Amino acid sequence: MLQVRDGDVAKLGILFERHHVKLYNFLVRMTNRRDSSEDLVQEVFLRILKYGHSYRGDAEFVVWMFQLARNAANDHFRKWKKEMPLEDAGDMPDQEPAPDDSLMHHEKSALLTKALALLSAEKREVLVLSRYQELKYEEIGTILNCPVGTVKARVHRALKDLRREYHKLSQDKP
Amino acid sequence: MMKSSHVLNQLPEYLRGSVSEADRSAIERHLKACKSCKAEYTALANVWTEFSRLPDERPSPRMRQRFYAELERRKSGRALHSAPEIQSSGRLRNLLGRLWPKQPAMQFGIALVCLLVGYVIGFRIDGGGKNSGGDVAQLRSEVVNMQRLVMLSLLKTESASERIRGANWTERIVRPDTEVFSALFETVNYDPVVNVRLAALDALAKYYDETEVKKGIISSLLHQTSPLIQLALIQVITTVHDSEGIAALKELLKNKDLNKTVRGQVEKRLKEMGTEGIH
Repeated sequence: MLQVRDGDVAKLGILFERHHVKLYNFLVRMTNRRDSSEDLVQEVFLRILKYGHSYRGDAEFVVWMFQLARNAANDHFRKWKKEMPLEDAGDMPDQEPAPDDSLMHHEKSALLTKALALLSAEKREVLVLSRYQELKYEEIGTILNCPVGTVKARVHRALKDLRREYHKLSQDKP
Repeated sequence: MMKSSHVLNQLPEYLRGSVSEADRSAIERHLKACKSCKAEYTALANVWTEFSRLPDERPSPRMRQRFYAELERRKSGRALHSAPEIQSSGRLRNLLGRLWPKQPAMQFGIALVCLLVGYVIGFRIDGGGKNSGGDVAQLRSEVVNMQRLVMLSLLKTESASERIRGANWTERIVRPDTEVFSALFETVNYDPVVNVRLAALDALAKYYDETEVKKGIISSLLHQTSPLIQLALIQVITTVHDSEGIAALKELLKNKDLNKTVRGQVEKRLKEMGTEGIH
């Protein structure tokens, strides 16, 4: 990471390989758009390169990366607010199920993805971030700029809401 | 109730398995005792399990290609334009990007200078200051030599703007020698771009009192066909009132194809210098 801070762009490739899928998934869940998320991943990595000097050490990298991603997603929201209402799940058709996936599981995933999209951005982000085991609640607190207690309460509320939306959607399904 | 809400907020962490051993057993004890918390836990656990099993979305291969293409551009330093909201660091980088030469010859020259400076510094450290004054002098002379090489290689580049830079580079050379002068004259006389020729002439003009430069400029005046260059040469020659210059101007007037403006200028200058130069 230090090499990127010193402007060695080649080392950015290693960071990209290590983190881009995670970052992309965070952004897809936040924006509900795959095409924009790809643009945003690119944007985040360019910001990493650009603001490399404000990054202080290795343990903080993932936290910092998600902070940048969050800002990038917010910029995206500001830009698209009028054009794309949040309820419209963007360009998110179901992904092809993996061959070994049972249809049941695939359906469940699709419903859950929909339910997640129905939550507020605040709840979605805390859930998506807490999905990554490597992020401690303290770190999620740093990313969201709020105390750990708030993170815990927010995850709990978000999970409850997710359950409610998921339940509703499965009831509506014929 | 107080107990119950306490555990509820801990449930997400518990589900993630990221609570300490002590907390875990406390939560488990509580869940056994408290029905409402147990019910909440069961419901949340279901969603959590499903949620954590959500398959990762896969970005398209295009994303990786785009990223590496952009990285390549950054590596070669050509992509500094894409930052309209430049911060001070960006501005510094932009400046460095502009200053850093794009021409391989220039880059090679700078690399040579760096190598040499490194070599001499290394040599000094190694030599332990026995002869530090001499080493500094040597370092200085080597750097001057390198600057000369940079200038000469710049003058041979394909790009006209780089050749102009090469001509301007002459200012950094403390004592230009015959090789430098002849490279500049080569440019003044044969460069296809008038602006480059003018820049080279500018560089030479500062050394007009050197015999070889004066001779070169006078001989160039008689062979030039471009009026612009002729005018610039006349300007240089007439800054000094000497017989060689006056003779050259008179010689120039013998040329029947001489541009009218140039002819007028020569006659005017000769008059100013108090010499009747007509015929």
